[in-house]
Amino acid sequence: MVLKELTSLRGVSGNEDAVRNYILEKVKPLADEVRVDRMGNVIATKKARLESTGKHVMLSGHMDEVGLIILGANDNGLLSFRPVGGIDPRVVVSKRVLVGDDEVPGVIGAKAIHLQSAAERQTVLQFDQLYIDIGAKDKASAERLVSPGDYVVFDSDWVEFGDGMVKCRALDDRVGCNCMISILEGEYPCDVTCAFTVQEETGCRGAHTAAWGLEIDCAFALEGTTANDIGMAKGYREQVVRVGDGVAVSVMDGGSIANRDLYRRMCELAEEKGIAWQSKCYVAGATDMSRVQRHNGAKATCVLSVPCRYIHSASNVCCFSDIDAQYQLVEAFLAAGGTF
Amino acid sequence: MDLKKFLTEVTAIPGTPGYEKPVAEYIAKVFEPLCDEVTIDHLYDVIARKGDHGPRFMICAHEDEIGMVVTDIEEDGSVRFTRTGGVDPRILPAMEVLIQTKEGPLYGVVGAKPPHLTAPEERNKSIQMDAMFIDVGLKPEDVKSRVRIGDQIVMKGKAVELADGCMSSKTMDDRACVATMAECAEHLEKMNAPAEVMMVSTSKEEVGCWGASAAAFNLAPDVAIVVDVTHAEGPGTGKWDAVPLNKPAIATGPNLHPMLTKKLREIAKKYRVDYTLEVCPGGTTGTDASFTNVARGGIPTVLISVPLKYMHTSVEVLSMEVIRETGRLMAHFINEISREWEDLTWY
Repeated sequence: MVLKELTSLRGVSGNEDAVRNYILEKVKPLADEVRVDRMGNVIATKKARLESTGKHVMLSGHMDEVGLIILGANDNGLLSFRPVGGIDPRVVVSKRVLVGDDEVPGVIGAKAIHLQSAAERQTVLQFDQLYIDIGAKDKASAERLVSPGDYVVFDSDWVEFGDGMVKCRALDDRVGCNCMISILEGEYPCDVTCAFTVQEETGCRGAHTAAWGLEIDCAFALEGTTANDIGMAKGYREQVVRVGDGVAVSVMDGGSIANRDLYRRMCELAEEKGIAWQSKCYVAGATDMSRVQRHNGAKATCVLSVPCRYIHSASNVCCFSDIDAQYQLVEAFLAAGGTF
Repeated sequence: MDLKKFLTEVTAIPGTPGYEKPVAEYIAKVFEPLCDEVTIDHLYDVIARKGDHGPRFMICAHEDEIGMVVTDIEEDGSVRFTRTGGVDPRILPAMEVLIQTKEGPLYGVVGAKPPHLTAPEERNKSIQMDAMFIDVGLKPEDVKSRVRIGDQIVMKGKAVELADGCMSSKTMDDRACVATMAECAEHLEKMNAPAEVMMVSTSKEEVGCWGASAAAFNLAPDVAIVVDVTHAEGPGTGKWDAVPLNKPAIATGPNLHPMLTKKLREIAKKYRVDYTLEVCPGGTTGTDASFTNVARGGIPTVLISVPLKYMHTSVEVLSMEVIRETGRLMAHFINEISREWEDLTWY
């Protein structure tokens, strides 16, 4: 598993180079055709090695992660920034960050609690009230180290804890990239194309072009999805999916509706193979399938997700058994020739 | 002293009020080669003595830290908590923490309801502490066997070096000021000051300066120097709320001794220690000085502050040069005052 290495790489939407270069190096020896399209997606196709069913399956996982981008330095040396992708401003306060390709360390502070009024304590600090502090004493000093447009990632290490859990930044969606690299190591009786996409977090921009020119029979998004199963949340509406209960197969989300036959096939296959799975019924958010399903003509799609707590923060939490279940289910589908 | 190494190591050791033993033991080891005698009292105050004659100076910098405490364990294994000391709840979502269990530190992440499940009007409000929980990634039965109500919780941070000689970590408040005492000890070594200096890393400051109160009574010093952090200028700080980051601040106001404070300012000027004068209008200053100056029959006290940005967060920022300068200033102060001791006019 290369997940730990993948999560160590910077890849805020629009700045996926480090992840892309790593993935290219990994998949070139494994796939028959590897190309980078004009958007920056890595498209790796592996032809059927066994007697082929004639099917062609597309997998899609995004290389990018949510992060921040520098607007510029202020006179006092503090950096103004904005989010790239959907980040709740409440989760960035008191966090460490790494700015730009040189990974200049910085912190996001806030006015000390001692100096806050009672009303201030109740209000959310918005992005225009927050700053990255790299220690620079003034604007000139800051500008020697960082530039407007520099991308910023959370400084959040890989920590294994609890019962087979891992905490890191960018598990959404390096888990999907990791799964596809593992898939490309196998041999199947069908063609498989893995699309490592860019800019999912800023509106599934990469997926617009990823399926272009591919004659595919079905496509899967391999994602990380919101789990809110702890803290006494009740029912699917609050919990969405549960960490540790297996790969989540989506009925629909805010951007695509699973092909009914494909959805049933995946559920039945998981049951048949004894792979832990759960249904994701909560309709919100969108994945690359929102583009693939209809951008290049009608395609059968389905979303297979690894439940992730505290998604879109510095501290994504996933369970190894769910990461494995996602792989097992995709592998079983391909091993059966990609039919549904 | 290797300041970076000391700050990196000392800020990583848990030490909420009442639970300072591990950090006290670490600090004692650091001061042993710098001082004549190091002891730890029953409150876990570390008392490092240097010199054995002349007026007795006590320096106080506190070793404890703010934190949280386990209040309940829910059926699903989520750990509820409240704060001990002034933790800002707004910094907690997605924070990494260590619960100090009977078997040692247990890693967890602070969770809260995710934004897409919160109503738009809820998103404009900060998340209250009772709506948060700690996720330790264990089954409920395992959480219950390992975590007990009352277990202390500390923030998990990482010390990082920033640009322009700055450093960031949790618990710079007030371990950075403990470092100023070690710097001071190194200068005193060269000065051969005719003074007995008791460098006290005080416990329980965050709950009311109890360690300093006890130490001031027990040690009966002639003069107290308190070193604590103060607010450095940063986002949202008002014009008179905060001081520049890049120089120590000398406090003035009713809590501090007027003649000694004047002397401290003169000595700073003489030895070219650039400082900001910080006006503290109250009878107390929210530091150990509040208690040392009324201990016993009254102990003349001065207060030097290390400016700190983002106080009580996991990313407190300071300038390392200020720590060095504060140590140098205190050593000159002790040296000069002890040599003039008999000629001082107190009022």
